[in-house]
Amino acid sequence: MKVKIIHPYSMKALTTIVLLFLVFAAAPAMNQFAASGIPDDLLTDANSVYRINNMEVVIDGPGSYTVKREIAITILNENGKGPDVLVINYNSDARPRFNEGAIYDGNGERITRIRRRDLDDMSNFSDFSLYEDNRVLAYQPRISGYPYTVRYSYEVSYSRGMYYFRTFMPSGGFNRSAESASLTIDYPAGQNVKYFTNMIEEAPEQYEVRPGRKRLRWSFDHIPAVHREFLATGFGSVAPGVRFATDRFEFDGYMGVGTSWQEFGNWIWQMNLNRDRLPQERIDFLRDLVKDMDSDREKVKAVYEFLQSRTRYVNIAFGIGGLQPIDAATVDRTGYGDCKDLTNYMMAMLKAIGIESHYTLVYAGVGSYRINRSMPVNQFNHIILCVPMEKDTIWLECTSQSLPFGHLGDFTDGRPVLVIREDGGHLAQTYGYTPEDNIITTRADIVIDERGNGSGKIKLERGGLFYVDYYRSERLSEQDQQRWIYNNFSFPNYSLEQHGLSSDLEGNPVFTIDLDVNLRTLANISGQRLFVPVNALSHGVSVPPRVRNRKLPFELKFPVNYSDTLVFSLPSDYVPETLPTLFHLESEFGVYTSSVELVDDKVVYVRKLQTFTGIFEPELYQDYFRFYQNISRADNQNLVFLRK
Amino acid sequence: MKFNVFSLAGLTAILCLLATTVYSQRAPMRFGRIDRTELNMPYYEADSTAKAVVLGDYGMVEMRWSNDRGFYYSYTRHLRVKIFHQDATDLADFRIYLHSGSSGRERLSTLRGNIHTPENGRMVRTRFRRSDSYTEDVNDYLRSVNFTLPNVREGSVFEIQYTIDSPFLFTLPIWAFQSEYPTVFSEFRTLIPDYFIYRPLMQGYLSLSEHDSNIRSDDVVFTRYRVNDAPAFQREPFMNALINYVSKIELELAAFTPRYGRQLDFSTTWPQLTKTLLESSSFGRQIERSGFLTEEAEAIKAAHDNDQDRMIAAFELIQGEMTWNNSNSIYARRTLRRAWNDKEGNAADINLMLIALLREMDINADPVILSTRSNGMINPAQIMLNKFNYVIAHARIDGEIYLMDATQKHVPYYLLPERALNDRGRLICERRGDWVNLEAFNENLIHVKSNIQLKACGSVHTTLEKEKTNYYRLSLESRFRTFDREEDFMDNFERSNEGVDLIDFELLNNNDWNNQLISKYEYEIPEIDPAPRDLLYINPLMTDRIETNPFRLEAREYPVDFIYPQKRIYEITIQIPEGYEVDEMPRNTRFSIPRRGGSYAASYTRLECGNILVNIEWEIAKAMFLPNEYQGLREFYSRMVEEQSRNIVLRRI
Repeated sequence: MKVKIIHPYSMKALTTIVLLFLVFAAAPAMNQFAASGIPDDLLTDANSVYRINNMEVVIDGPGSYTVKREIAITILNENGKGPDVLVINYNSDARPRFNEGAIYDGNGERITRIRRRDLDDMSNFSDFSLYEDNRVLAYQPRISGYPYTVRYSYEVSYSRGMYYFRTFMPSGGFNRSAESASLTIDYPAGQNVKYFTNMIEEAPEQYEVRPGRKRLRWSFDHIPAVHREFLATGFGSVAPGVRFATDRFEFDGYMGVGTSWQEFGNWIWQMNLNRDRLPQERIDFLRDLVKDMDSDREKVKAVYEFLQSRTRYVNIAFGIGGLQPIDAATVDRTGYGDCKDLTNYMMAMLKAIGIESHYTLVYAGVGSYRINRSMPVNQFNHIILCVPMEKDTIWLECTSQSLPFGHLGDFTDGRPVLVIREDGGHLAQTYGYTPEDNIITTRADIVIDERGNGSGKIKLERGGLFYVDYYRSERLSEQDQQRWIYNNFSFPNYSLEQHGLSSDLEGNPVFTIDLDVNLRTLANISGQRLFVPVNALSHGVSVPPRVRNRKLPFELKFPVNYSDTLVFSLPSDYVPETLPTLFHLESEFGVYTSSVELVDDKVVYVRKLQTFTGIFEPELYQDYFRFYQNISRADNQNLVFLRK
Repeated sequence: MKFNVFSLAGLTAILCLLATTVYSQRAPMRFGRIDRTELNMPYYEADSTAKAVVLGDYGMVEMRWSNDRGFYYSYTRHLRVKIFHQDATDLADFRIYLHSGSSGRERLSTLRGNIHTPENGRMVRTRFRRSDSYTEDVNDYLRSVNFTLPNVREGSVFEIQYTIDSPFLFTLPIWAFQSEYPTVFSEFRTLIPDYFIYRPLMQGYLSLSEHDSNIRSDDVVFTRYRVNDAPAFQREPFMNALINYVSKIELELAAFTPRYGRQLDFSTTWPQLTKTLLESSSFGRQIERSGFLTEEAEAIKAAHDNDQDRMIAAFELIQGEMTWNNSNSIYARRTLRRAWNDKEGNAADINLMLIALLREMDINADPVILSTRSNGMINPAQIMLNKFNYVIAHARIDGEIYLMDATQKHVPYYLLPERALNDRGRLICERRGDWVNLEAFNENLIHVKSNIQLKACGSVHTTLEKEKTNYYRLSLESRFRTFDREEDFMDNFERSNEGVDLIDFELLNNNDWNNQLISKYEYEIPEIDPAPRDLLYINPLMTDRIETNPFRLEAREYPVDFIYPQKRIYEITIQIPEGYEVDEMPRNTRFSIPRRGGSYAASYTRLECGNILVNIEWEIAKAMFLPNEYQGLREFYSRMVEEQSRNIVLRRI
C-alpha cells in the first residue's frame, strides 16, 4: 500500500485535509439504512428495495436442513407495503426461529425493535381444508409516512428433505430492487446440490469450508426492479434467480434419490406401496359391476363413474399426508379424500378388476406449464391417474364428481407429467387441445320488430378447453340453468323463452347452448333511423392495456377460434342506410375478418377471429394492442336502417 | 371483551336450583331417529330445485354451574340435512370454532354424527368417528375443530350434534334461521335462570312461526323461537352485508339479579348504557386521560385561532400520525397514551384519541358508537351494546355538528369511510345521548365537460374534464393510488374504453381536498378508413354511457343499497365538421323515479355556430330503495340505457 505524503507547506492539500476532517467530524457515519443511500436507478419502478437479502442454506443431511435469512427492506410507498414484508411460513416439520428485527425511519434512525412476540402467529388456511398445518409468522409495520426500513433475521429448520426445489431470487418479486443479496448453500461432501439459474451469467463460487463441508455461493448487487406488466411471463423468467435442490432426501424414513426421474419416481412408488388394499366386498362388487362388459375402456368408465358417485374431494394437507395417500380401504369407508387418496383409490379399484393403471404427478394450473427436466425432484402439485389402453391412454381426474370420463380440464391438459410405475418414474405428456378444438361459436337468427325489439334463436358452442367451463350447468335444475345463463351471457336486455343445454363428447368435447330469446330494445330507434349494434350478440374481445413502454416479453397462452354468424330480419318499412365497414386484419397474434351481406330482407353478418399463441418480444406489444384495438373498432359498429 | 364476573362467591345458595334442570319440553327432533319419508325424500316439495334441504336445525342453550368453572352455558346444536345435488355436499364440511380468553376457554364436550347413504336401493348408516376430526389453533384466541362427514353423496341424509360449553356469558351464540338452502324448521331454545336477563334481538325478513316463553317452578325461564319453512337465501346485486338480511336472533346479557348478592346491570337503558361506557376503563375513562396530548393541543391552539381550524388540525394530526390496524372496536385496546406512542391502534384507540385531543382544546367532542356496514344494521328498538363495533368522533362547534373518523388515510375530515355509513349511530354523552344520522349527506357528483371534434371520416377528438366530489373523488383517488405510475392508469383507461387512444391525461389536485379534483382527458377514436362519409352517427356520451341495466331480476326481495346518493352532469359540445349538417337529433327528454327517488333529463341544442350542445343530468337521489320501490328503479335504469344509446346523425351537405 502506497502512502502519499503531503508536503506540509502545500496549502491546497492542507485545506483539503482540514475540510475532510471537518466533514467527517460534523456528520456521524451515514446510517446504513438511510433511504438516501439507495442509488437512483434502483428506485426506478421500485416500490420497495432490498438493502440486504441474504439466504444461507445449511444442509445437515438428506433429511434435514436449515434456511437462514437476513433481510433489510426499504418500503418506498404505499404499494410497496405488501403483506410479504415480513412473513415466515412454517409447519410442524419446518420450525421457525425469529432472531430479531428493527424498523428504521427514512434517515436510517431506528424507530422500534421487532421481537418474536410482536409477530402474529396464524393458521394459513385458504378455503375449507380438513386439516392443514401451514402456518405463518407475520408482521405488518405500523408506520405512517415513507420511506422506512424493516430489518430482521430468522431461520427455519426443516426435518424433511429437500425433495422439491427451493428458489432464491435476489429482488424477490415485481417492483422491488435489490442493493445487495447473496445465496450460500453449505452442504456435506457426501451430498450434491443441483441447481439451475436464470439471467445469471457468472458461476457460483465453490469451495470447501472445512473437510467434509462444501459451499456454493452467489453474490448479487444492484439488481434493478422489474415493473409488472400485463401478460408478462412469470417473474421467475424475467429476473435473476437460482433454483436448487439436493440430490438425496429423506422423508419420514423414506430415502429418495433425485438423480433421475426414474429414481425420483421410485421413491414415490415406495411410499405408495401396499396402500391399495380394498375390502373383499368392494372387490366382489367391482368384479360384479364389470362382469358383462367386453372392453377394458367400458370397464374403466364404469369404475370411474362409480368413483364419481361415491367420493368427494376434501383437501387434507398435513404431515406425510402431504405426500403419501391415505390407504384405499379408508377412502372406501369414508368416501372422501384429496387428489392422492382418490387417485390411489381409483387405482386400487382398477387393480381389483385386473386393469393396470399408474399414479401420475402433474403440475395443475391453467395455462401451459413447463418443468425443468434436468431437476428430478418434485415439481408437481396434483395427482391424476394414467390408464394405458391398447391403443391410447386414458387420463383420469379423480377429484371431480362430474367431469366426463376421459377428459382432463384446462388444469392438467397438454403438459409433462411423471408416471409412477414399479420400475420408477417416467416422464410423459397429457394430451392437449389443438387450436381447432377451442371453439367459441355464436349463431343467431333474430327478427327485429318496428319498436326495435328482437326475438329469435341463439345457438352457442364452446369446445375444447372451454368445454369444462360449461358442462356442469347441464346437471342443474331448470331454474338454476336459467339463472346460470343469465349470469354467464350478457346479451342486451334479454329474457329467455326456452333453453337447451347439451354435450357432445365424441371426439373434441363441445357444449351447446340453445336459446330462444326476446331482446328488448336490441335495436335503438332514434327518429327515422334504426341502429343495430353488430357486436350485441357476438362474443367480443377485450382490448389489452396499452403498456406504453413495454419492457418485458409477453405470452399468449390460449389459441381460440371465434366464429359468429348473425342473421337479422328487419321490419319491412326500413331500408339499409349504412352497413358496417368490413375488415380483414392479420397479424402474428391472429386473423380477423368480418363481412355483411344482404340476403332478401335479411342481413347476414359473419365474423371470424382466430388467435395464435407464443412468447413475443416486447417491441411487438404495440402491434398486439393495435390488433385488438382495431378489432374492437370493427366490432363496435352499427347496422343503420332508415324508415322508408 | 370476554370476562367472567360470575365466579363470585356466595352464589352457592342458588345453585341447587340449577341442579334440577329436568325440563319437560321435548326436543323437536331426536338424534338417530330419522323419518323414512325424510330419508327417501326425492326432492324438497316447497323448493323443488333446491340442491339440499335443512330438515331441521335445532339449538339449545342451557345455563349451568359447576364448582370449578362457575357459571357457563352449554350450547347444543343438532343439524339434519338432506343432500339432493353433489354441489351441496360441502354442507358436510364443518369448522366449529372455540374461543378462549382471560376468563376461560370454550370446550367441545360432545360431537357425534350419523350419515345415511343410499347404497343399492337401501340407506346404509355410517357413524362419524370423532377421531376423524382435527383441531387447529387458528390464533391465540381461537381454535377450530375441523371435520368432514364420510359417505355424503347425492341422496344422503346426515345429522350432527355437538355441545359447546362456554364461559362467555355476555353473548350467547347467534342463531340464524336461514341459510343458502331452504330450511324445514329452525328452532332455538334457551333455559336460563330468571336472574340472568338476556335481551333478544330478532333481525331479518322472516317472522317467527312460533315463540313462547314460560317460567318453570324452579325459576328457570324456558324460551323458544322457531321459524318454519325458511326459503333459501339468495344474493342479489347492490346488497349490503349478508348479515343484514339473513333472519337471525341474538341474545345479549342485560342484567344479573341474584336474590342474594350484588345486582349487576348491563346496559338495559340508553342512559345506563351510556353510563357503563363512560365509566369503562376502555372507553370513557380513556378519553379523560388526555394529558399526553397537551403539547399537541397547545401547538394546534397556537397555530390556529378558531375552533373549526383547530378541529381540522387535530383530525389531520391524528389521521397522519396513527395507523389503523384494520380492527373495528368500540373499546380501546390499551391506554391511548400507549397507542399514541406506538402510532397504531384500532378504531376506538384512534377516534377516542381524536376526541381526547379535541377536548384538550376545549372543543365540545363526544364519541358516537355505530355498527359498520359489514357488521349489520342497528335496530334502534333494541339496546344491545355488543351490536356496536365501531366508534367515531362527534364535535359541535357553534351549533354545527361534525362527524369524523381518523382511521383512514387520505380521507378529508368531513367524510366518513364507507364502512361507517350505516344508517345511524348512538351519541355517547351523559347530557344528551341521541341517535345520529350516518347516511352520507354530502353531494356525490360527477360533473363532465367535454368537447368533441368530429371529423368527416368519423374520427373523433375529445377533450374532457371530469370533476368528482366526495365519495366519487375518494374512489378515484384510491384507485389511482393502486397504480404504480400514472402511465399504468392511462394504459388501463384504454382497456376499459375500447377503441380509445388516450393522448393526454392529467389529474389535478390529487389528494388536495382544499381544491376540486379534476381529471382531464384528451383522446381520439380514429376511424381506420380516412375517407369522408355521407352520414356520420355519433353518441355524445362516448366513454360515459350506461350500457346495461344492472337490475336484471324482475322482482327483488331485499332493499337496493347504493351506499350514497349520486348525481351526474354532462355538458357536451360537439363541433361538427365543415360541410355537414344535423340530419337528426334525439328528442329532449325528462323522466324520474317515483317519490323523488331520482331523475333524468337530456337536452340537445343546435348552437348558432352550427355546433351541438348536449346537456344530460341524472341523479339517484337516495341511498336506499325498498323492495316496493324496485320496479320504479329498474324501469328508470332501463329507460336511461335506452336514452343513452341514441345517436346524433349528421349529413354531408
